[in-house]
Amino acid sequence: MNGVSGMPRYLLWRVGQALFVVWAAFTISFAVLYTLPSDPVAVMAGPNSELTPAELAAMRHDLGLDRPVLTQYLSQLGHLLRGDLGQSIQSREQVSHLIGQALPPTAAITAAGLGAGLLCGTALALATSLVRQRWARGLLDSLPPLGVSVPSYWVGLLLLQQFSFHWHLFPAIGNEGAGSMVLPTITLALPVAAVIAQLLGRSLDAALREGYADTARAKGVSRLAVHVRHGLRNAVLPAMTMVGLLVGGMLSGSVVVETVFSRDGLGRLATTAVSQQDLPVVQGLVLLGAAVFAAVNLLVDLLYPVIDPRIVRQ
Amino acid sequence: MNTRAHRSRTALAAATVTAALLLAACGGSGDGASGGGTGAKGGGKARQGGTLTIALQSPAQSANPRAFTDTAAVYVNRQIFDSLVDQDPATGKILPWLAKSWEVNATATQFTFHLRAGVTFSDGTPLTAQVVKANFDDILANKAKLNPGIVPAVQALTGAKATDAQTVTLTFAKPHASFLVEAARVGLSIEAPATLALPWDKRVDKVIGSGPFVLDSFAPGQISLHKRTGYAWAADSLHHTGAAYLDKVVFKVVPESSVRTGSLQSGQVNAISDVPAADIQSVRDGGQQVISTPNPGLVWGLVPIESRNPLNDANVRKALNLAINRPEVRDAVLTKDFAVATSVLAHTTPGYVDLGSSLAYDPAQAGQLLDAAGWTRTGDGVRQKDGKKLTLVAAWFRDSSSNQKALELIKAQLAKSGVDLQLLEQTGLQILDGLKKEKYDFFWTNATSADGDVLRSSFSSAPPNYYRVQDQPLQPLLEQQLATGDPAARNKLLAQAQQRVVAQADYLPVFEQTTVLAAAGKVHGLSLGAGAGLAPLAGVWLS
Repeated sequence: MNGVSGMPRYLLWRVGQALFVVWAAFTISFAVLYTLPSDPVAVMAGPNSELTPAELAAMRHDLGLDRPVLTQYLSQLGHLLRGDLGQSIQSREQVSHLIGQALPPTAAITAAGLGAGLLCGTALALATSLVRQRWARGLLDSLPPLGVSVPSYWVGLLLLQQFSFHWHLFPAIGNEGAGSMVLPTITLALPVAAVIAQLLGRSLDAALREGYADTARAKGVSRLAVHVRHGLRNAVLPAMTMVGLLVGGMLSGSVVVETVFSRDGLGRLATTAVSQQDLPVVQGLVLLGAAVFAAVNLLVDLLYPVIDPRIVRQ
Repeated sequence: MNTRAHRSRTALAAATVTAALLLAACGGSGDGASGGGTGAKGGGKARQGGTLTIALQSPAQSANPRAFTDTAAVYVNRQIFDSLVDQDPATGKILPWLAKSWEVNATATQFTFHLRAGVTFSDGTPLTAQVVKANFDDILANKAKLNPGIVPAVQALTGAKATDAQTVTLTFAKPHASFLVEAARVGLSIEAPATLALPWDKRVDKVIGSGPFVLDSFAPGQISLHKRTGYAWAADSLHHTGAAYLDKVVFKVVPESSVRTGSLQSGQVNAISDVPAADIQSVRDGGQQVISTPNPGLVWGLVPIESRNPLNDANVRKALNLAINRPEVRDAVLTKDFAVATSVLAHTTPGYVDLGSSLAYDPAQAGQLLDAAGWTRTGDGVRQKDGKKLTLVAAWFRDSSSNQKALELIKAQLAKSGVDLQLLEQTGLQILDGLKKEKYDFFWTNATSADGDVLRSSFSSAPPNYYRVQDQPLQPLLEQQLATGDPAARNKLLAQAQQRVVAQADYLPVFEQTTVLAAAGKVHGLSLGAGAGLAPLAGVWLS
């Protein structure tokens, strides 16, 4: 009975938290970006600039940078509530348009990388727990630490060298076709798989030592079924929490991957915006990152009760 | 003339920001035409058709030629837009393009252009004096939105007047002899009325020009152009008449230099930009062509901040100039594609004079000058005066892959003469701030510009004078050259200014920036223009 009335309240509470996180990210990034001793106009002009102070002021006025900080903050927050992220200082395009353009390719490789990483990580954890030979288990156990410790930058270049430049299997650059997604996906999936395998492996071991696993074995359930149905379901919660964090990591990972594989996307947009001090774009990206992060964590939280009904009752 | 350039900015470095703009440095506002290129005529008969794919280091962010002037924007927009005049990359001479002839008055305040007949934009509208006037009216109306690199060119422009259908006159409030070179740049190329009719913010991906190629699609990572049929007014220096050979040109963005090289060698692209000095040999060894041209403008070197002690002493500056072994820097850090500085200007800059004999390595004389100035050797080898060590701070910015290695070698060279050079890597923002607050003794820089007026923008003591230039006798030379319409008389003034800068060691020149492209063997006619940017691809073909 409690579960029925508890669920909406739980939902409301979590959604409220997520919105707070997004607002806080907006405010903090605004504070950091706009109170830094940086002047995008001076940056645009450069030291050899022959612009008169009046012309610089006109540029500043044109960009709305001459208003008091608080006014800028409130006006931006107001625009944000109406879904308006403002205009790029450099290209003068709508930030929402720029982000909308860059989002699909990044979403595609991030989703593919996450999916592949989860699948491989789970498979590796299961395989490690199922293998009986001591040496084979040792070998499988050593893979996750290796995967966590190699930098994806290096992995990406290595993959390119072999699979693109040497064997001509996949294109090295661009977004065209499914082939162009293979190597970036592997690069992004590798650290995810490693972390998941490590985490899941550990909690799987713990779950399989529990009494319910022994009960299942005693009832004559097959080894594979014990591991999957009884072990994995109970071991999956910590890994799910991790997925929430990994998605955030993958957004920053996309910067590296999109640079190495010369792909369009949020990573490239972020690199360009930061290097040009295009504050509205940077801020839009921070906001997007916060929103995605909050949404994924919300989703994970909402999935908890589905997997483990005890959580809502608590 | 600070052309913004985003050269070897590491893709992940956060605040690379300014220096790109800051130093205007190396990318270059290329215009004009074929200079040292891939033997256009040597490869047999030109073949029609095909797609040329070029990998760039950074994205072109807009097809509005006045919005960005970095390498990528210039490479792409040069294919879509033509300029009033062309500049010969070999001689620096101004040649006809959309204007078949022009006149400049003696004080360089009035420029009259006589337009070529029969030119049309890709939407069919004809080029007239009215259109040219409308372009400059539009530039003046959008001055606050122009790329800051273009603003100096039109700062003193008061207006344009169409005297008849084919004649247009531009008037400046004060002498502006560098305008012809500026008019040859992509930034002042001529747009179609349909593009001018768009609000500035919409001129990003739907622009219309009269150039040899027409914009097909514009995405951040990939830009496609197709051939303009009926094109018959190629820039004079291209030595090409008629439409382009290529059907299509595709620019792709590949930020990683090793990936660019690998993609070229594995045949995934036909040509690449921004080949780092360290990769040139491997590209050659891989059987690819290397196309390079020294960037005109201010060579790489150290600007002494003359308001600071002891660099306010000309003899100390001269001593440091003598203590730098330029050929050694070139040989150790760069390749033979880079030239040792023989003036403050690169040898491809109009008005350059060879002052190489004044820039020889002479540590003995350097030591004598420092001794005479009171800086004497002490136990640890570093000179001292009044108990103060001769320690100098050189600020630098990572905008070229060779900067660090070159500076480390210079540091070692100066150490032999008892000078302790401290290298201070800075972000773009830090540099702006550090220059304002006079935190450094030296600043490592260069500036690409196809006109000798770069001397004035670098060494003028007028505000903001970021380098704190103190040399007053130099100032009249810098002002007079801009007010001299006659090229020969102007070059004489530019020569005197260079002699003055070198004699006073107002700048410690080291080596010339060089733009390096690489291309597959089947690419013919690829070349760099007068500003060291990609020349129009009208004469390029694939075998």
